[in-house]
Amino acid sequence: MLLQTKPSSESTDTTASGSRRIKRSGKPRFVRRGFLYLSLIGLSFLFALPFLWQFGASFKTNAEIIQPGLNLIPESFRLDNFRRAFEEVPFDLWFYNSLFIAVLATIGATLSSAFCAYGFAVLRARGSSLWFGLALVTIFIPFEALLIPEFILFSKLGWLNTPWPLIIPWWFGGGAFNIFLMRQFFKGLPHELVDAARIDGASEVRIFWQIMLPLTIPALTVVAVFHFIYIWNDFLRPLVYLQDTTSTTLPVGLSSFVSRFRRDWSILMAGSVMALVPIIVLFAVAQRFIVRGINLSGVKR
Amino acid sequence: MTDGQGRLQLRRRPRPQPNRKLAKREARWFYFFIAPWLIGFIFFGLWPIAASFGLAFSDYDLGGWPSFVGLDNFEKMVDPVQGPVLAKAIRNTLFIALTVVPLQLALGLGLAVLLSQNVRGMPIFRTAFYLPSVVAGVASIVVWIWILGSDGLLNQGLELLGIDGPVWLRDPATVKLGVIIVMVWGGTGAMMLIFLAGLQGLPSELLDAAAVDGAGPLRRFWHVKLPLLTPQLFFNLVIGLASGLGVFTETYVISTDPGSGAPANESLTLVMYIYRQLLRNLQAGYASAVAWVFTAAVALLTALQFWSSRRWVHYEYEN
Repeated sequence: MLLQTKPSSESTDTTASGSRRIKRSGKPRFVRRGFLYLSLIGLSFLFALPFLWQFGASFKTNAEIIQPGLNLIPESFRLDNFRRAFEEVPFDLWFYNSLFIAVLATIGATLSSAFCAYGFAVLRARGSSLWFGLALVTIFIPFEALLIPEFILFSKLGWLNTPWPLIIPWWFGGGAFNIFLMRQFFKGLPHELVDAARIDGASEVRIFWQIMLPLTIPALTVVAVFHFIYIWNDFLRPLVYLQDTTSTTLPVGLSSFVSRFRRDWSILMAGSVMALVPIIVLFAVAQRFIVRGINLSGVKR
Repeated sequence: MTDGQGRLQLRRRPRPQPNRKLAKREARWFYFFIAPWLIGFIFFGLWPIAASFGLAFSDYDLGGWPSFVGLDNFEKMVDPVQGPVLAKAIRNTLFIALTVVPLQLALGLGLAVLLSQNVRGMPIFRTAFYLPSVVAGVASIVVWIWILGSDGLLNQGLELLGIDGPVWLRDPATVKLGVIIVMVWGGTGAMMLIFLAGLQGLPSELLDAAAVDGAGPLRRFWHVKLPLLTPQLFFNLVIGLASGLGVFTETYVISTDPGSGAPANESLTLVMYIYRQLLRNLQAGYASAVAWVFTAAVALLTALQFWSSRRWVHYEYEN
């Protein structure tokens, strides 16, 4: 929201910005603006180039791909590569596993972090800030440090090669960073709502579920979008916990695909593009929440 | 002052006597609500930390029971067999992280400054820069393997300049550079977005005042904007360095033999080393000891940044 409104307010011609303009006028304005747009267009093209090339290449034959030159648009939009990707590897299975894990982990992390954050933000108890401090510290423990004992734990539970190691832990707190984000948001809501509801005799669970939670939907969306992207791209955890080809996720499947089809670029491009599509669609739909989330995350403090 | 304070205290309504029964009830609800986190913390935080501490002093091949071996695992880290390999992994990791993070910070800040100048079509540019961060992962590394290949886009571009480029990811001399390019591409956008939010929240009075005082664009940036952006800089630095030191996906996927650190262990990173010791060599004890060293290093660096932040991060101008 902030990002959208600020630039327009800057453009209004106040005396202050007028004086700024005087100071800047080393070169004519249009020259400076020209340079600005040229560099922006050039740089954004460089950043987007890998995608553009990848999408084009997913329709090309291998011979067409290795042709020199920047041919972004394929000769024809043939779907052969995509069909081949489905035939050669259990692509549909990986896709399903990824989606299953990402959806359930996201629901768990979102609800669970909101639930716990409500406790931290609204309810008072002796030692509550101590618990919260402890939660904050865990943000800085790299998850790689816990990978080995968790691997042993999950293998003893018989959870290896099942989606559960990648889902269940998120239902218990949903990650300290998400709790922190949601707590900030709950803190911003008027406490009178809780007091009034208590006087009316509502139970704490009901106050949370029916009064406070609906008010946090903007924050919940941010947490959900970021978490979904995080889980969808997660690599090390599924690589360690899901070593079976049929139980693994898209990124891990794709990585085995990379070593198997080393020279077969057309099938690699098609496979990777199919892995990119869901996340790009989600991004397109949720972009404004992501931008808002940056402001919400409290980096500005 | 004292007078006013005294009156203030008189005027203040007597604090409601804390109802002990109600307070107790609320405390019970507090624990009810944080219970999921608490249980998760015990099972997926506290217990693994304790277990990995124990494992660091044990020999354990993932079957049967771990046996206590004292400091053997730590001695192994510096023995003639594992020592040089581990040292190489640490050097590679530091080289990658300490190159990538400054590049990401500088480029992210530069792009944010460009975008903050009331640009037409800003959301489109912003998306182009940020999208790589969203999809950073195996699916986009695949295309980079081609771009950095022998006849890939990068070498085609270099050929136009008359330079004969290497096979970036197969050449021991350039594989880390290739990884760095991929990571800068994939991590700059997220930092840019945070800088951009900071730039657009800057108090315009200060910038205008500086302009009126005759400060040019460069001085305004260096002496006014940058100090005000230090909270964003700090956040990006802490997060960027922690994730840079954990580099794994890029170095794992680009290799012809995934996870091998090929060519010549030049792409072997610390997390990959731990992964290899755990799942290839089934040395859970030794892997835990190395993981502890990794965690301690990250914790130390993070603590150092927080400690130094008091000197260079300015939080005065809250908006």
